[in-house]
Amino acid sequence: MKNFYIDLSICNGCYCCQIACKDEHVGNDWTPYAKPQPDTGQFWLGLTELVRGQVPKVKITYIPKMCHHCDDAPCIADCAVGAITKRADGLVIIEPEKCTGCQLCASACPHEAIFFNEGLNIAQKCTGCAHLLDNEAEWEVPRCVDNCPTGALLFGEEKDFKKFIAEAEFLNPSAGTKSRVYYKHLPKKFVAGTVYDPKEEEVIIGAKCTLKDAQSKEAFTAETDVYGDFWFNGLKDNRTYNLTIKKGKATKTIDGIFTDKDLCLGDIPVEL
Amino acid sequence: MPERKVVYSTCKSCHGGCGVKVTVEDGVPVHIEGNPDTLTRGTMCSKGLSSIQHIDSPYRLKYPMKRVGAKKEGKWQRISWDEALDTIAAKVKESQEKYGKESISISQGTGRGYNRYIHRLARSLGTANVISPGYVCHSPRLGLYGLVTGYGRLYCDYHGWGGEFPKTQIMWAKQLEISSADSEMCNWFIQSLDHCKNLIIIDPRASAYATRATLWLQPRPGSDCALAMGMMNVIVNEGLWDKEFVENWTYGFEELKERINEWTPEKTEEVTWVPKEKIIAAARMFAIDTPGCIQVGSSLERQANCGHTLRAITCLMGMAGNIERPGSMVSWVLPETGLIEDFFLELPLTPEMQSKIIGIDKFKMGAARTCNPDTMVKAILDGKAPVHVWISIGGQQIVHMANTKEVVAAIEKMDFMVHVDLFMGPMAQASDMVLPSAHWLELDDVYDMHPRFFIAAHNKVVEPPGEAKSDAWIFNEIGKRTAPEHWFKDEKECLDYQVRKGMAGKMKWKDFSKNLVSGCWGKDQVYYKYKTDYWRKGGGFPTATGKFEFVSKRLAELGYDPLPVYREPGESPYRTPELYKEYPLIMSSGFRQPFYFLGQYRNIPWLRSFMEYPMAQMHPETAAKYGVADGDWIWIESPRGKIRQKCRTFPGILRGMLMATANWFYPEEGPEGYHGVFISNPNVLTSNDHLDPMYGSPDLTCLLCKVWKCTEDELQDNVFKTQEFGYVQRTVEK
Repeated sequence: MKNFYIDLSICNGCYCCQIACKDEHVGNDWTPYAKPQPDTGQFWLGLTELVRGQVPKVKITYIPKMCHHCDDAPCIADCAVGAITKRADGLVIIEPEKCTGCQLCASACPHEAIFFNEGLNIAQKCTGCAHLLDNEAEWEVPRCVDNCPTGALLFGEEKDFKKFIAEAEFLNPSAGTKSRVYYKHLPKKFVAGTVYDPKEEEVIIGAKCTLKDAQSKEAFTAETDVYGDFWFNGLKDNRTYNLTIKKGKATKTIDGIFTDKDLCLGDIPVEL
Repeated sequence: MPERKVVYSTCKSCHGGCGVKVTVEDGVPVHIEGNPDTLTRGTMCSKGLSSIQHIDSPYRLKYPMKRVGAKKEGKWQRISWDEALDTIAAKVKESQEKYGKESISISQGTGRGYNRYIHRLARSLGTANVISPGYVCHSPRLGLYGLVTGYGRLYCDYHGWGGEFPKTQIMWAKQLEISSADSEMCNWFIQSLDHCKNLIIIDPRASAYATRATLWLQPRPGSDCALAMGMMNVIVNEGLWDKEFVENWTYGFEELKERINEWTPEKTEEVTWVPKEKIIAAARMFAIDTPGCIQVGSSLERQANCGHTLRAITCLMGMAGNIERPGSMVSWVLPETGLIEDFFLELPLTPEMQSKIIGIDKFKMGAARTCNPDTMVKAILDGKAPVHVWISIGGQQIVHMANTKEVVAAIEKMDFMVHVDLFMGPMAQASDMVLPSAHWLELDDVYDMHPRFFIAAHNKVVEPPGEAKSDAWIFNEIGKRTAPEHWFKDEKECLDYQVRKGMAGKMKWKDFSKNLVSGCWGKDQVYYKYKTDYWRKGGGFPTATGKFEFVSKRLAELGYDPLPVYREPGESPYRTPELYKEYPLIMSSGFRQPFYFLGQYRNIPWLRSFMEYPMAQMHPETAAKYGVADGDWIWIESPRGKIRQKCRTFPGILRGMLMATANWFYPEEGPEGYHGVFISNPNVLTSNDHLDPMYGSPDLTCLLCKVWKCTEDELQDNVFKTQEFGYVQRTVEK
């Protein structure tokens, strides 16, 4: 069985994957795998930009999104005419010649990966370029993967990517659809700031920062670096934290830090 | 079964350079991908990958046409190539006789393959009034590198051919990962990051790499020279400079030390808005963790202190010994085919031609070989310009030059103008005649890269539409009719001539075309050239002193400060505090997208769908202060005029500034407004009054503006008139 493997820590947002998909599918009829993709409006593979935090503590992540080729695919279950099938290699295909255009699959898909082609009256989505994998000896991966200049997008047999899978997550785990697209370095919430001494107007290096979950009491520690910065990465959504900053005898506490978004707490004065 | 073949060529969707493999079925290109067996290892970008849409575009010019109505009416009549070329030749001759040879001006877009053709044509016509965008892109760095090191082309050594990769990389006002002149470098840069200890990004706005970097510095736009001075101050005060290199191979270090003495981290922080801790850290990394390199972006060259900014940055490289060492800044040895510019350099620029260059009296670096375009615009408007005939290829001066209103007014005053292009656009609409040029998939030509260590073949994949012709053919035909002694029997002879030095002097175009590349790389490259007889006997740099020159006597002779000096932008909070009260935002037009190249590709549906409208980025707090929300259409105003773009709140940008999308026009809009060039293009706002003293570069990436939200009434304005293309909503969203 094959999967997609996406490492967000090396994706630069160059959009090559998205264009490669268009080059392969717009204007090309790959029936029985897929009819032509329209010029615009469909994103069998679409890149989204996510900007988190506030200056100067900001993170930018590009997330390629596509059909998850789920093992428990709601689209397959909901298709009234049996037009959607799961292949032996794991790919999920909407057979354009069987599709009646009822759009039940599009509304069933929790990943928003199915598009409706009004002109052809069919549902369409990523095919994993199965037409290439099946029929062209030189093609072992889909076009988007082949065109990724950074190696952020990979495709292959599960057994060859055990290490990747062990470190990876799903984009929408709550959908529970047994996705075949694995992501590494999906963004988590962060809390960061800069600690300084208001009298000296200098940053404070080596201040001990402790971030404590107000409910579970789980605690994280960090130390300010040479720029006076501290970072707490990988935090959970919608939790309330208390921050304590200690340097020498000085202590400062900030309560009620809520991670509904990523937070840059700005420049924090601590009088030594 | 359709007849299938694969053609190997070289992409030119930006400056170009990536090796490509094009599948052709029954004469139609159906598939483009990178060629893995080239120096670019099969990588391509979205611009190149969408090339099939370029050749099929409904905007393509297919036949020579002459204008039959008034300018901006869009009324054209097809003519024959003979009529077109004979008319051009007659207009050129008439103008030369009436007003002198300098009355012919030739303009180009960014340095694509036609660079050498237009320069050869200009020189063969006896004029140096060439309008090149070089003064806002790449030329200043080449000129300043040239002054300091004697050789102009210093590039980052991402290759590891000398056994070392850069340990500290500075990316200064540049996103090489998405927007690269010579996109082939993007791939090498990304590969080199595997060996990089410190990646330092200098950019007022966040990018993917800024947020992954070891260090990210956010300077106030236009203050970069001060930042370089501050970094040098740290290196000097902490004794971190490369002792061996500075002592043996440089000139003027003591004077430079004195000059940078005032640039303490505190003062640098005040001017640049970068925290001093980060300035110190960046300077230490660059000086201690060597080798290192600095990739400069052209945003620095779109500022009116660009000369000294680049001088300061070059001194910074030298101080850390990051010159000619493997993994640092290196000037590459040429391939056996030689320097491609010899194609026009072999025709000398005579003192007579040089003396007639518009702007040479003021901008002694930038207007030494080409004219200063902004000075030319002013001179035309004052009725003092000698220029009467303008031959234009590729570039959209109307779009990329400062102060659009004045540029348009000047162009409209030309006696005769002809524009050569792939597509209909603003410059074409301002012309008396348009000529259709071939896309890179439709021509044979020589690609030359900026770093100059290889040239590659553009091989014709498909016939051009209608009567479109290659740049080489068009310029050769104009040349044959106006200065036949310098031109060639036909296009083939012209191409043979350009590669003739290859294969020990036996190379023909067809050999080169088959080989795909002529280059010098790997073990054939030479490092530490100054330690050998390469530039001068006994070692040294090819400068007047034989050294790397921190102090430039040549600059002093030309009347400039021989040492780097910081100068505020023409409009800034510190230089024009009164103006800042009325226009309280610092504006830059440095926002680039990976799917557009300068003014190009808004007419390519796949690419346009990524960003239908120009976006202006502002920090959410700044936007809120001016009553603007994400997605709002906003007015952006400067003392020169106002435009609208769509606001994008972006937490990764400095507060108090606005980053507008550059070079925006609407190809789908009608000819009456030069394809909507006044609607959203930031150059409606930029000034052509305050120019760099050396290069004449205007402040395109640092000025002042104010913003407010478009009113409901204004949103009902019929801004966009066409209904033709589905991919752009024709009505303005509320």
